[in-house]
Parts: sequence; C-alpha cells; structure tokens
Amino acid sequence: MRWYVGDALHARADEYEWDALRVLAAGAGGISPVGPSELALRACRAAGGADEAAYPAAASLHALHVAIHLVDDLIDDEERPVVELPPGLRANLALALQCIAVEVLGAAPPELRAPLMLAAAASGRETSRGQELDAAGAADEDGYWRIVEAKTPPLFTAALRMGALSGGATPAAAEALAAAGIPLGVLVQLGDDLGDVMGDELRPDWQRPGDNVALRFALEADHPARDRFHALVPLVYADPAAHAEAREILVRSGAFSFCVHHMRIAAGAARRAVLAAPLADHAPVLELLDQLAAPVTDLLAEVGVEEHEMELAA
Amino acid sequence: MRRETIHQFRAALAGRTEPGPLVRAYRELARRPGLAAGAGFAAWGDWAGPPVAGAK
Repeated sequence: MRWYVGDALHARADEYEWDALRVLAAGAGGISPVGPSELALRACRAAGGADEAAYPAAASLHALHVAIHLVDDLIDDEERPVVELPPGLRANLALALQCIAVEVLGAAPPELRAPLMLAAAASGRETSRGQELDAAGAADEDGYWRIVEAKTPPLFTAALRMGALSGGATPAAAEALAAAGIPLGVLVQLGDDLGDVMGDELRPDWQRPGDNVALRFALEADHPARDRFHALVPLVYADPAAHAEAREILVRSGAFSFCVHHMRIAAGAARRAVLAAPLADHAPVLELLDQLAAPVTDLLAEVGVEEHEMELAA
Repeated sequence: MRRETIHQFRAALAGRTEPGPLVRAYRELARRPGLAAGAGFAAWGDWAGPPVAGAK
C-alpha cells in the first residue's frame, strides 16, 4: 500500500520534474503504519475487500493529509514546515495535492469513482472549516469541543467511508462505519493535546493554552495550584524548571486524568460505532482502534481498572 | 457523546464521597506524575502529525 501511494505521487512529480512533490512522494514510502491511509485499508478489509481495492482511496487520503498539514503549517506559522519552501509555494503545493487527491481516484472502479471523489472533497471542505474555527481559537470549553469535532474527524470519517466503499460495502454500511470517525478523531485530537504538553519539547500549545484541553483544565478548574499554574504558563519557554513544574501541575490538578477520561469515552464510542456497522469482519478496524487506545487502556490497568470495569462505566 | 465538563470532573475528583472504580483510578493517576510521563503519548504524533517520513 505504501509503495502504491508513493508511486501515485511520484508519477505526477516525474511528469513535470517537480522536485517539491518528489520530496513528498519519497516520504510516502515511509507512511506511518497508523493514519488515514491505513484506516482506509482496514475498512476495506472489514468490508470483505482485497487490500489492492483500497489503494486508490489510500493514495487520495495521503495526498489530502499532506495538503492539510501544508496548510496547517501556514496557519500556525510553523518553524519547521513539512517542506522547506516559501509560504506561497507551500500553498500552491497544497492546491496540487488536493487535486491529486481527486485525480488518483480515477484508478478506482468506475461505479465507485463519484462516491469516492465526493467523500474526499467533503473531507477537505469540512477540514478547512475546522481549521478556520481553530485559527479563531476557543472562547470557552464548549468552543474547544466544537473545534475538535470540526477539525480532526472529517479525515477519519472519510477514510472509513472510502475504505468501506472500496471493499464493497453498501453505501449504508459505509455510512455506519464512517460514524466511528467522529469519536476516533476526538480520540486522536485529545491524544495529540496530551502529547503536545506532556513531552519534553515545548510545543506552540503553551502559547495558546485555551486551545489545548489539558492546559485549559489546569487554568480553569478549581484546584489548589491554579494561580501558580497561571503564573507558570508565560515562563515555560524561558525556564525549564517552570516547564517541569507546570507539567506536574497538569497531572496533580486532574487535567491529565480528564484527558484520559475523555479518551476512554471516545474509544468506547468508536468501538460501538464500528461494531454497529453491518460489515463482514470488524476485526481489522478494531485492531487499529485498540492499538490507538492502548496508552489509555494500559494506564487505567496500571491504576487497577479492569477491562470489564471500563466497559461498564462507558 | 456524554461529556463531563472541566468543573464537573474536577468536583468528582476532589469530592469526599466514596468514588467508583474509575474516579478512584483518575485520582490515582493524578497522584502519580511518573505514570503520565511514561504513558507514550509521543506516539500520537504518528496520527496527528505530518504523514510523510522525515518531516519534522
């Protein structure tokens, strides 16, 4: 699958000797074993399709995913963008990739081309809207959740829908599976929020704390170290000790637990949605979901919650 | 999806009533920063991060 995706981009890069696209195509050989392309492959298997049937959808989702990141870097003024090009040329490359995301679907069976193209286009449009909401920032806690649901899930719902359709699922079954993409996207975004604040590297989240739910929790919840946390946030970039102390408050205030709690709920909702979809074999998608939820499951097991207790409380 | 707010969650975490197994677990997580540090959330970048090798 990875090489098919890489070749789909390479073919277009070679046609014009387009170096920037070639850089991204070379990287496609190393696509992560998790992500929208892999999700589409798993959805195709779940519907009873051969892996090859998912390749056009996987290539489309990869192109779309890279395009989204190119734009995301521009919006965030990222210091280390996906490709080293002036901003205008990165926007230009994103435009090419959005078109390629539709074009590669020409390799799908004729009866699937229109529904797959519509799914890819809708995913890009919805993500763009989510990006704009995200750029405006969350005014309150409800606003945070609205942004999360608008920004991250569209690519995941598209991956599940496109993969299932490619594997031969009926439109209704593909739609049912796509519903799992919403909690799945929330799960991924919460994990991303935690990864961005719990790691040693200082991510931009600390400069926009209202847009990271862990930081928002520590700033807003009624806990003994709240004032101290407010004082520490502006200092984390200049003072490693302030960064370490702020991270400890994130845990002791319950912010970390809050994220784990909502990740557990999202994982449970995604699992139930997958199981509700009338498909030949749910296992390929559930395996990926379990892999994604493993840090949460392992943490809760570490503090004594058994698997059946997680299910009962879901 | 059912969704507790920040204030509801914090109140449950800090409450004096006998907690269920999950709230007990969340309290325990809040007491052990070492667990959070080792939870492996860096791997989440594979999902939410750039989808090409060598980027960032």
